Amino acid sequence: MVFSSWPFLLIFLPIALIGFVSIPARYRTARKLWLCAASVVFYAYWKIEYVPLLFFSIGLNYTIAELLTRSANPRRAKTILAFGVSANLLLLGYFKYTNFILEFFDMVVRREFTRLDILLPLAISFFTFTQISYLVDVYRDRNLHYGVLDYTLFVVFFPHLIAGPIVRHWEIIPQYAARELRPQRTDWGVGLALFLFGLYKKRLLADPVSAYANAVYGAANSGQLVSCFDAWLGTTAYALQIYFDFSGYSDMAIGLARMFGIRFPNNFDSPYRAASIIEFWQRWHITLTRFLREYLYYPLGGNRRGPERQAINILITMLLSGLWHGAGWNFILWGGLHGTYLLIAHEWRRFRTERGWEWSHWSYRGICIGVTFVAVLFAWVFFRAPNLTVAANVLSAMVGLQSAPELGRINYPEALQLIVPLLALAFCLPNVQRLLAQYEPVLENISAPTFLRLRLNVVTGIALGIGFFAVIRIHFYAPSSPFLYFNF
Amino acid sequence: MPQAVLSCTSTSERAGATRGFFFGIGGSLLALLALYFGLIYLQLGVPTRASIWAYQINQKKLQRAASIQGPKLLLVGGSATLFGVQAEMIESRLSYPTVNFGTHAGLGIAYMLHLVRQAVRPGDTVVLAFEYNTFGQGVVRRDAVYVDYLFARDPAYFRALPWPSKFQVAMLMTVPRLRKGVRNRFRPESTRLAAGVYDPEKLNAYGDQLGNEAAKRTFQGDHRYVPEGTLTRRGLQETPAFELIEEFVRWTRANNIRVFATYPNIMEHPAYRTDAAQKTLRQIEGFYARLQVPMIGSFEESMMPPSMFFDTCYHMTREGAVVRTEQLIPHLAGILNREQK
Repeated sequence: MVFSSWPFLLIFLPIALIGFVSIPARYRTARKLWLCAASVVFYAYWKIEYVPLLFFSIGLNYTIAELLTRSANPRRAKTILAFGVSANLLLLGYFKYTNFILEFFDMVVRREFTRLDILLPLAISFFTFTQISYLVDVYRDRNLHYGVLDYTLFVVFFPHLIAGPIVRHWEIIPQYAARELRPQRTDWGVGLALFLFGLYKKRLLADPVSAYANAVYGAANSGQLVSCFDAWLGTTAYALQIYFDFSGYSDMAIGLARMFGIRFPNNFDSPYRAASIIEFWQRWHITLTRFLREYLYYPLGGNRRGPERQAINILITMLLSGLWHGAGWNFILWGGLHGTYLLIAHEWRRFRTERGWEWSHWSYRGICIGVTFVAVLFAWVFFRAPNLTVAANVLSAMVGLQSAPELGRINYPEALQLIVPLLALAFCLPNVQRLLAQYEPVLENISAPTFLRLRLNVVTGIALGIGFFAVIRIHFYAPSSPFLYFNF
Repeated sequence: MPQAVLSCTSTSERAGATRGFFFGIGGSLLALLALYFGLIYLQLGVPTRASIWAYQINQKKLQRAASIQGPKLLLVGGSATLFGVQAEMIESRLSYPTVNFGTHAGLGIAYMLHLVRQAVRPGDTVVLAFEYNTFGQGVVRRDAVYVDYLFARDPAYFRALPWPSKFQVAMLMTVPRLRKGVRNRFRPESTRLAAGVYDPEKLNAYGDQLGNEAAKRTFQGDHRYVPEGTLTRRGLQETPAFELIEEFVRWTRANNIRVFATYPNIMEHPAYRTDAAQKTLRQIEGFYARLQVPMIGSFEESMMPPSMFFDTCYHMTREGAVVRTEQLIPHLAGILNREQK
C-alpha cells in the first residue's frame, strides 16, 4: 500500500484516522494499540509472511535492551550490545546481501555458487537501523526504559516504517506519553497540507519526469549507446525524480504522523541548493546522515584522530552508506564517489581556512552550488544504472567520450518543458517545511521570512483542492509507481 | 542525550488551521469534479474528427457482415488483422463469405468483442487474433482514439458501462479533447477525414485495408525495433481481457457460433524466441485450450520478416498480407471443411 495509492487514500487512512479519533483521548493505551494494529495491517498488506520477522526483530531488540538496562557490569553490557548489533546486522545481511556475497565469491574463486531464493522484506533496512540506534542509546544510558507497547509503536508506526525518516526513540516515544496523541485541528491541517504537498511532488512531478530517465537508462540497458545530450537529460531527469520522489515521500510521512499528533524530524532541506557536498549531506536524507554520523562515523573516531584517520572514516561511512542502499557494486561505487567528494570538500575547506579565504559573495556560492550539483549528478549515474556497464555507457556519453545519435523516442521540447521548471522548483522555491514554518511542521526549528509563510486558510485549501483534482486525473493516465526508497 | 521534543499542540494557540482551509480543499475538489463532469455530459455524443476513421471502418465492416445472409467467417482482431489478412483472397479460394473484421486495436478487446456481437449470427465462425498488447489491458483503454470514439461515436456504449468504468473513461479525456467536444457542441467542425494509414476510403468490400503496398512503405524497421513488451514479459497477469474473452466464448456457444483463435502476424524479433516470450505464448495457448478454443497455425509462422511490414511491427504491407493469408488458408479450409481452389 503506497501512500499515493487509492487503497491507502480512500480506505486505510480514513479508517486509521477515524478509528483513532473515535477512541476517547483519555484511553491513550487503546489509541496506541489501535495505531500498532493499523501499522501491522499496513505492513501485512505488502506481504503478510514478513510480519513474524518484524515481530521477531522487535521482540529480540526489546529483550536485548531490557538485558542491557539490567546489566551493571560494563563488559557484560558491551557483550550484550555487540550481540544485539550483530544479530540485527546478520538478519539484514542474510536478507539483503547473501546473494551479493555469493556473487562476490563467484568472482573471486571463479565458480558459480547457487543463489538463494530470498525476497528482501520491505523496510528491513529502516527498522534495523531504527532499532540499532535504540540499542546503542540504551547502552549509553542504562536508565532508559520504555514499555513494550511504546517501543513496538515506535518501531512499527506506519508513517515511518517503510522508508523512514529514521527516527530515534527520544524524539518519538515521549510524544506518546504527553498530550500529543490528542491531535487538534491544526495538527490535521498541517498534516494534511504536508501530505498533499508530498503527494503532488510524487504524482505530479516525480512520476512524469521519470519517463525521461527510464527512456535513457532503458536504452543504455538494452545495449544502445546514448548521446551526450541524452545522458545529461536522463541523469538530470533522474536527479529530479529521486529528489521529488523521496522528499515527497518524506513530506507525506511527516504529514501522516502529524495527523495523529506526532511530529517527526526533518528529512530534506532543499539539498540541491547545497554549496558543498558536506552541506548536501546535511540536507539530503537528513535522518540517515544523522544515523551514520552518530552510530558509525563518530564511533570510528570521526575527526578526532587526525586528517588521515578522518579520511578513512569518511570513506568507510560512505561505502557502507552505499551498501545500505543496495547490494551491488554500483551502490558501493556511488558511496565511494560521495566519500571521495567529501574528502575533497574537507580538504578544500581546510585549504581555505589555512589561507584565511572567506569568500561569501553570492557569485562564489552560485558556482559552488553548480559544481556540487554536477558532482551529485555524476554520482546519481551509479545509483540509477542497473549495472556498471550501463553506468559506463552513460558516463562516457556525459563526458563526451562516445558519439551516438539522439534517441528517437524522447520528445525533447516536452522533456525540457518539464525538466527546466522542476530545476527551478528545486533550486529557487522554498521547501514545504519553510512554507509551513509557523506551524512547526517538524521537530527542528525552521525559520522562514514572513512573506514566504503559507497560512492554512481558505485560499491555501482551494489551491490544495485543485492539486488533488490534478492527482485524480493523472492517476488515470499513469498508475502510481512505488517510491524509489521502498527498494532500500 | 537531547531533551524530549516540543509540544505538538503548542502551535494551535499561535497559528491555527482555519475551518476555511478544510472547506477550501473539499469545496474546490467537489466544484472541479462537478464542473468537469458537467462538461463531459455536455459534449457526450457530439461528433469530432479524431476518431471518425475508426468509426467509418467499423461501420463498413458491420454493413458488410449484415449483408451476408448465410454462415460467414469473421477474422477478428486489431490492425494486425486489418492490414495482415486478405478476406477477399480467403473468400475466393474457399468460396466462403469472409469479413476482415480487424479494426483499431486501441479500442480494446471489450469494444472489439462488442462489435463482433453485433455482426455475428448463429452458424458463423469467428477467428480471434488479438494483438499481444491487448491482453495486458483492462476493460477501459488508455487510448485517445478509444476515449474520443466512445464520447463522439458510441455514447450508448459509454452509457452502458458500469459506473467505475464510466468514471475512468471520463477521467481519461484530455483537456484539449474536452475543449474540442464542448466547442463542437455549439460550432461543429468539419467531418472531413484526415489522410492517414487507416483509411476507410481504401477498404475493399471485404474489409481489407488497401493502400499499404510495399512501394509506399514508410517503415525502415528491422530487428532493432523495441520488441512487444507484453510478449517478452515472461507471462501475463490475469487481466480483465481474459475474462472478456471467456465471457464472449460462452456467449458464442450459447448462440451456436464457432470460435477459433490464431496468432496475430508480428514482425520477427530474436526476443520472441526467448524463454520469457515462450512462457507468455504458452500462457495464451493454455488459456484458449482451457476454453476449448482451438488455435490454428503456429506462432513461428506468424512471425514475418521485417521487409513485409508497412509502418509498425503489426501492420503488414499488401504483399506481406498475401503471404500471411496463404499460410492461413489451409488452416481455415480445415476448420470450415472447404476445398481450396
